[in-house]
Amino acid sequence: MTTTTAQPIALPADWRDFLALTKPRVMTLVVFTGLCGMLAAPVQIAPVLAFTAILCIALGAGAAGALNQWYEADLDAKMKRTERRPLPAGRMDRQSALHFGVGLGSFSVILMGLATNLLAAGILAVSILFYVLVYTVWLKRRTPQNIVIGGAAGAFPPLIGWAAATGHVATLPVLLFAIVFLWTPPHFWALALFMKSDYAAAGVPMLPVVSGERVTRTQIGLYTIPMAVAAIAPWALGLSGVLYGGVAIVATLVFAALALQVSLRTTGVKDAMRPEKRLFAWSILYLFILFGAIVIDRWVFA
Amino acid sequence: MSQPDDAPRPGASPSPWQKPGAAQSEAIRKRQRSRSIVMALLLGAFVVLMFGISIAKIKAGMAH
Repeated sequence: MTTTTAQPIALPADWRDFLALTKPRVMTLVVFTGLCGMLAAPVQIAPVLAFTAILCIALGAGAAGALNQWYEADLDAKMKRTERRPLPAGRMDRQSALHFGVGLGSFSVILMGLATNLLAAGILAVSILFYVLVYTVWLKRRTPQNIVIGGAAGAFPPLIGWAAATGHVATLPVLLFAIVFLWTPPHFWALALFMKSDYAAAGVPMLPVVSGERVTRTQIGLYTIPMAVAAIAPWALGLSGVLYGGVAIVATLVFAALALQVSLRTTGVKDAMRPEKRLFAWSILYLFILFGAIVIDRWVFA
Repeated sequence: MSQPDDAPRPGASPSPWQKPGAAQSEAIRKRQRSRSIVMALLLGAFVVLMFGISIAKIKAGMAH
């Protein structure tokens, strides 16, 4: 006679785990910049179509996040910041994450095409593929320049928002793209400076891990220069009013001061990294301020 | 004495077809129920959204 003991059987993933797979916090900035790109456009579209376009941008970003977590489950398991995500924590199997990501991404692109236009749907598809294939699969584990090139993926939303409203692309949304693209390196390298040990443990070749803190600090300072030029360009080129110009100059000066402080300092063994954390926090607020200002400016001076 | 065909091999990983206990069954059913409710709500929202998109497109077509 044989006896069998009850073995634990894996529960199906909870809906909250699928939600966590979409990286909702990252989505906030993506949705905001996409919304600002749409609101800054000189054309108004029906509210339900505008809502759908923003929803599609959010779903597309969520799909990219899900596919990123599907591919990087092994890396996430090695980092404290990410070890509690659904895949490394064992709350979901990888196949479910893959199906969810591909399904959500396809759905967002098709819905965008149906609700707005093919250009917006095309840019959305490119942004998802860029984030998954170029950044996640190709660059992230190979080069310390991963976030410089990969930053383009996060810069697409204002272009998509503008294209959804107008059906074409103009200079202003390209400048908004450039702002986010050039903002990404100082933003992520500030984070990488105080999360260096986590990235090193996971074997991710972030700049502070590969080239050291000194090079990273210098690069933060250098990348702030073209970012500042891009931030002030909409006003300098006459694409926005004095309201945006004033806000952009003040906010960028604060950013530059914090970046300069980070780039000039040297740290000891148990440094609290306060200036780096301050720069990281300001960089997030900075983008919200710039994009909020461009929308208000366009509405005031329209 | 040979083992019956459905007995697990020594060292084998648990079969996905293995019958769960009563408590596990209840937990699985609860999880499936919550997923079904969320799915139903999302489908309902999608239907409303498609209706709204259709009305907006028709209005835009009539305006032109």
